[in-house]
Amino acid sequence: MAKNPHVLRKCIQAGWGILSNAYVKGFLPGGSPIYKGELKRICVPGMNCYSCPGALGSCPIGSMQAVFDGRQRKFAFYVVGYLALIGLIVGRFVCGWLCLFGLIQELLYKIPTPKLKVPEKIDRPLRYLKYAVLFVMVFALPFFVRSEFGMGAPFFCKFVCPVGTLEGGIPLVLLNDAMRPALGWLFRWKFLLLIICILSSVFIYRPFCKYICPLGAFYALFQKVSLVKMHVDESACVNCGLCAKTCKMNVNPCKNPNSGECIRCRECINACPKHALSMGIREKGALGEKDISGVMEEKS
Amino acid sequence: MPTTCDIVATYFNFIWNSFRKDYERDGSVKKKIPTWVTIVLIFASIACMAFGIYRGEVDTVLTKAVNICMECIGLG
Repeated sequence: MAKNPHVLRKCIQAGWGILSNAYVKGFLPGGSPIYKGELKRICVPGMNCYSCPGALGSCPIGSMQAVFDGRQRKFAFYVVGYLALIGLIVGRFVCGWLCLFGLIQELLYKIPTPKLKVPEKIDRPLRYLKYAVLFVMVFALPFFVRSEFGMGAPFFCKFVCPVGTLEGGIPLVLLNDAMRPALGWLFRWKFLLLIICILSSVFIYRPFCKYICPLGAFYALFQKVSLVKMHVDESACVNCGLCAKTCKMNVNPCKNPNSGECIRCRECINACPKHALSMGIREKGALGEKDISGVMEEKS
Repeated sequence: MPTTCDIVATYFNFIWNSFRKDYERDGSVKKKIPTWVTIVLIFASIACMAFGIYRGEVDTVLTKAVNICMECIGLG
């Protein structure tokens, strides 16, 4: 396995992406266009369209809306509980390590072009947009807006999600001739959003994750209470600012190690010359709370 | 005798303060959220999941996921 931590993370992201889209028959002509097995009862932790020909699991955001927009207007206890459990254990770790769309954006950012730093005045308010997307497009609209037949719609998937277009729409349209005549304004709109997302990813680090992703917003709600947390050893920190410079999500790990924007990629930990940053499970309550790895180091 | 409203308000206040006072404006650590809050929330999320499974939401998810979602791919 790769010793370089950056390469290791990319390998895990890619490996997870392949594993969760391993239904090869979906990509072959003549077979079922998507996987229809029992595994789809379970949601994958990252953004992964369930209409992707290879998808073995369900998309959590799509599943949540599927329960909300049903005729009976149910609250999605299963998916919300499942995502809350992940968030409470690892926070946004999933964003940094187990999201295929995140990996795609990271790879696009590697294209050697001048990079754009979004001014803080614009960046800061835009960060809240993903929370608005979560509460309005994933929770409220599918739950409250009904058609004349009493059905809701998955508003986020339908009007915004570029992941569905990339992983589901484009492959299905390319593989199935019968779908092509059905392409209309909605596909063109979503395709345009995908292009914007891809182009902006070349210049801005993970723009979809920073500003739009409702799943990232959901996990971010649990970042400060999650079991696995970032820790700063204030006695070791020399405030050199290297961690903040390294962080591509524009977080200052020294000042706010468990910011909702942190995707726990560990790049700041690797960059810290004094090893003042660590990530681990908290040992005990408010006082005397320590990172287990830190305790082990002290003992040794 | 405290009313139900008082108890709820006390708990809400406690949780809200736990979040609010995690870090000072200058970034220094003021107070960390106790682990038991996380543990309680983990159990609550498991209970939430179990209730959803009991209600049959998993079947709703499966039904949606095994059919091509026309809205998701931009055809619906």
